[in-house]
Amino acid sequence: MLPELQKQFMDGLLRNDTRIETQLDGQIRSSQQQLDIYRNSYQGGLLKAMQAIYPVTQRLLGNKFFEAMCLRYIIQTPCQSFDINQYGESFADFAEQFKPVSELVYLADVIRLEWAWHYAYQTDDTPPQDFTPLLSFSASQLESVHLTLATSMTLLTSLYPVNLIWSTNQSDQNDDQESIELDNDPCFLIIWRNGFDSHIDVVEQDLFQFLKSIQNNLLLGQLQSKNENFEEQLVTCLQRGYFSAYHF
Amino acid sequence: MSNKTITRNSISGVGIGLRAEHYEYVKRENPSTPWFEILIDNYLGHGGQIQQHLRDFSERYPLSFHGVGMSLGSCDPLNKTYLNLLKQAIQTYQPALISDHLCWTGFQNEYVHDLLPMPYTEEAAQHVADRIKQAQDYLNTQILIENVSSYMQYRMSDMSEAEFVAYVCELADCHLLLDINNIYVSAFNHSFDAKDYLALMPADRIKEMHLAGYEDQGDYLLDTHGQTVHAPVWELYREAIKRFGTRPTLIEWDNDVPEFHVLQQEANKAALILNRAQSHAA
Repeated sequence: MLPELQKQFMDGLLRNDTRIETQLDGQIRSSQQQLDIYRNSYQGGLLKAMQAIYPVTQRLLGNKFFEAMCLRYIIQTPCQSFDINQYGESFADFAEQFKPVSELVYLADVIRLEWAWHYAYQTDDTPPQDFTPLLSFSASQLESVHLTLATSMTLLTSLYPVNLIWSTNQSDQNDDQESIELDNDPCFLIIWRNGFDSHIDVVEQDLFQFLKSIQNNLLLGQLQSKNENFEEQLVTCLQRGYFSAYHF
Repeated sequence: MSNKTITRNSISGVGIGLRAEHYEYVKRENPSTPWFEILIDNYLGHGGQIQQHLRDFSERYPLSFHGVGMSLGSCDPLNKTYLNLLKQAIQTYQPALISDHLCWTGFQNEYVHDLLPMPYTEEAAQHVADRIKQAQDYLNTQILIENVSSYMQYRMSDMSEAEFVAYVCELADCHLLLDINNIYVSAFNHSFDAKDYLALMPADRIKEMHLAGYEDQGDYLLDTHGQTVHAPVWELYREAIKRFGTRPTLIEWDNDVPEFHVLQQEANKAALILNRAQSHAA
């Protein structure tokens, strides 16, 4: 009886299924009123979480529009984690399909950037491995090495200058900023955290592709054969602390 | 069960629920608050500055861990990922108390992030007590369960909320975090006498009390934890202390969090009540 009751309540709360109403005692207030209190609390809690994760998006859209857009997202996207900080990852995909913002061609990538920033800030610590032994590896040993990117890292590319849009719309920036041209070259961003400090690194395309290849589990030997700047890129990434581990 | 209790710093007096808005103030000013309660779910599995805050505060103050992630009343299996993270945090930071709620928060991998009341039935009591025992065994310690404020009642309930809470504590052999504000809110919303509720509480299992503010919505009270403690809740708290004796008490404030001194003022009011009760008992 208890599992069925909980199923009916969740269906009532999230999908407006009315079966739960017959299970509730309506002597003091109606079943609908009782459900509404919990529905308002549920939606309000997730909205508050999204406002904390997406302040730039909220600033770009305005408070009321952002709230309305979030509520549409919340209604169709139940939370599937006990950790409320994990809620909202698919908001960028939702924005891409959400017709009222279709003219804001940069918006989905701004949302992706904000999610990556949030992810970098709150992700668990993974102390990096000591890479010193790699210096004594032979060429043939190095070919079989597989590197792992820092746990907090997200690689993001966009056709639009989303890093400029993000930095220009921080809460401590005033409103009379210069407008940003959207016709710039694509940007290649590395969003990650080093210790307590989160970063958005703007990099060249070839370094971005190098990291992308590592993310796609290519071995160093495979990367070396494809990339004439392999050593320079490898050293740059090691010096910056972009890797958390190596395996061979 | 009592021989499983981990030796940790004990707490007494009136603590304050520590929120992000006050991190810098507390680190800078080192207030004389005897202990803090943290919402442990905000730290589990998180690193960087978030985890550093927890390290800093655990070194300076006794802490109590307060969570919502156990979802003790849910019909989903207990979340082993959550419990494992909690167990690691307990071993690392040695909190004085560990508490969660007598409620459920989701089902079939959908989470409401709200505290949903149970039906007050034998089946529900056995179910949640069994899960509390599992959690206590896994964590190797007794936990406190908190009574939640509620806005709905199920037709199938065949006992009162107070009877249910007391029964579950007995079945699970766990402790009780008595939230005085939640009793008052539920009593108003469901038209029962809050003092009758107190009369059924198992005194020896009450290890902590909570005080918080509600919002008057007209025909019901909403437990927002976003205001000062209202006069009738202070009155109920005095009644509870008179009935049960002094207990560590927490000032909780989760929404529209004010400056720290406002919470300190609330804590001072509670401390006065505790001190007077101790004087009378002496």
